[in-house]
Amino acid sequence: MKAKKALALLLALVMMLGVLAACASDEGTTEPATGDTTTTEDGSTTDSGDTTDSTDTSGETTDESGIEYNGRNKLVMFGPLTGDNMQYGIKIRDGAQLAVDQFNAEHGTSFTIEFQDDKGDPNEAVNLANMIVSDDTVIAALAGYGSTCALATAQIFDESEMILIGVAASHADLPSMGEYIFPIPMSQRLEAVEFANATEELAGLGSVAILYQNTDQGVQACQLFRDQWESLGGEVVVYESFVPGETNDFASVLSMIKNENPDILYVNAAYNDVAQIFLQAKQLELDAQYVGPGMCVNEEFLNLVGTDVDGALILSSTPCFLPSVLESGDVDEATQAFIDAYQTAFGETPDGFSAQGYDSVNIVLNSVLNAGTTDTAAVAEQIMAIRDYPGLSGYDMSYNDQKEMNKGIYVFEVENGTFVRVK
Amino acid sequence: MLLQQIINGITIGSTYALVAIGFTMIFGVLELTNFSNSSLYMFGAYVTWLLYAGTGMNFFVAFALSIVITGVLGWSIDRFALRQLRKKHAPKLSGLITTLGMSMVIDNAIMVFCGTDSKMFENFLDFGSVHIGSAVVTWTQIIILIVACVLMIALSIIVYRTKIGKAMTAIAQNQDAAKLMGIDTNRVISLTFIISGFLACIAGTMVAMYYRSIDTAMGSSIGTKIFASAILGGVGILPGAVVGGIVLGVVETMVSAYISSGYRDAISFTILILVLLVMPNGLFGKKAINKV
Repeated sequence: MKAKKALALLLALVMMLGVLAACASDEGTTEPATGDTTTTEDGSTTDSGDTTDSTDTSGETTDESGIEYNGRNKLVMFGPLTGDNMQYGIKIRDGAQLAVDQFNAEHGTSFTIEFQDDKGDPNEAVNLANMIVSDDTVIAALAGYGSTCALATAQIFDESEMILIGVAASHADLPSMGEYIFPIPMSQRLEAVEFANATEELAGLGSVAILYQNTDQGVQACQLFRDQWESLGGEVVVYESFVPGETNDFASVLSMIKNENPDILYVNAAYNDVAQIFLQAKQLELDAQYVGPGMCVNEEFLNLVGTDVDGALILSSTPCFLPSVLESGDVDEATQAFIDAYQTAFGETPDGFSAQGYDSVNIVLNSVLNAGTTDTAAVAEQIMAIRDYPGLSGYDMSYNDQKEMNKGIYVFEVENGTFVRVK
Repeated sequence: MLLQQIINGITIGSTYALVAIGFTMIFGVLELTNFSNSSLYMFGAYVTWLLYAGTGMNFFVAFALSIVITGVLGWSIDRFALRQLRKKHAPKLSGLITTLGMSMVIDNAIMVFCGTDSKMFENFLDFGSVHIGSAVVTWTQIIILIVACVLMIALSIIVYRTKIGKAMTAIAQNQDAAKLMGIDTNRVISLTFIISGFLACIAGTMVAMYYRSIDTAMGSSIGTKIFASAILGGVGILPGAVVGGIVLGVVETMVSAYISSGYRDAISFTILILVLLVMPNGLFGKKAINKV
């Protein structure tokens, strides 16, 4: 009996070791598979953390672009390449990879990008961040997808004075967490103000009824919207919240809104709730200009509302990459070129996340090119100076003094069950 | 506006009532809180959707098939889990936890199979709307209310006027005595579960049509409401469930319209507690006879 037990224990140990070994090798193999063109040399040595050998390739030399590399030519992105949010991580990764390849081809530079998998888990992200800051070939780190991992690692990058780009991190606190931390998505604070301005421009300065979800995001965004609307001289007649997931019946609050007879119904909620609210408002014959948030720019929203809410406006700080909208030919040249290149390289249609990955890389590399050096302070100064940058995930991208991203916004109108850009 | 709000309240209330009838019936017979009822409600709506949208069959055929399938699922919850527990004279709490477990199995199975995003559900009862003064009533709302009333009357006749209904009452009072009187208790209980499955499916599909969408959380969000409706009306009493549901719906709507839509559930449940403090057995409840 005892021998059997010992054997079982031994087997269990062996299995556990096997699992651990598999984990380790996983991390090692993620980047060679993804960055086949650029990261072959670095990929095999990342496990140890302190790579020095790859510096030989670029060294102190400058190439035709005239950039002083100082032994640094690498970007590192950490994001969810497996796990719940992997669909976003993969899109960002592919966009970033494409940007590096195109940049190198255009400017004759030799930048590389490496991808690390944080599984969307802030603990993993912190481990990776410690590894990245100890690698002295890295120019800048990119936190792929979501604010959680960016916020968790911000302090580490700040202490090591390394540039951190929040590819899709829109949390309002992020820019203030370090001197060299830059978000790519539009700041929520500025977004709400721009949304109010756009509503005024397209629907006129009338009375507005605001219905929002009682979440951090909803409360903050709608307060700012209300303040801006009132400072423009508009009137807010209803300001009501609801708890998402508690109910999908909005008839009572909508009847109350109808009674106030507003010119505009502004809703801030997830797409399924917005769809419900608009449909039920139509059913109650609530006659106003319906305005919804950017969360609605997806295929599912259109499926839910059909053609019943035609005329509704959707405000968004990122462009729309839906196949139905792209097919209508309503895209500019740069976006079309990006879509074509992305499809050739990866066989898929890019989305807003791909565009953000693409913009992140280009913002960093252009700043390096302008600075003529990979020195952190010089590059950060160039990033800070970005004004009216024509990105793919937005236009007129500019940083303000608080390092908040400001952009022009997009307005879509629902027409015949699809989105048509009106601004 | 008041009229419109009352209409809104009655509509939500009748959707609660539809599911609460099945819930209260099982409680009436088994004194068992059936948590899986709200999952059956969601399951029914999904099966209807899968059948008509997935295979392209006629909607009403899909609806009928779905009612049968949900009935079978209701039956199997009893046949394969609860009956085994009864056989072993397990305490009532085990049954309650079992239904909770079943509910999770069903919810998660649907989530894995269909995903968690909202699905579009076509409204086949969209016959336009009528105006009463300034208020708007859609035919879908009227049909839901009518269906709730018809089902309540039909089930009341079954429970209070037929032999099988008498058997149910007998089982509710004393299972062993009922068995000794020659009642096939298992068959009667199975039937109760099948009926509650039918009702859950009808309710789920009607509500799905009304809101024109389904999602996997639709069951859990209505779960506490049907529970409250049944208790408010007096647990085990069919007309009580319907009235309880409608009262709850109207109160909720009034709170949301005149006080705050953010606190609708908090305030309406506080009112529920106050009512129960005054009338512990619910609006229609009789004084409880404690069985020893």
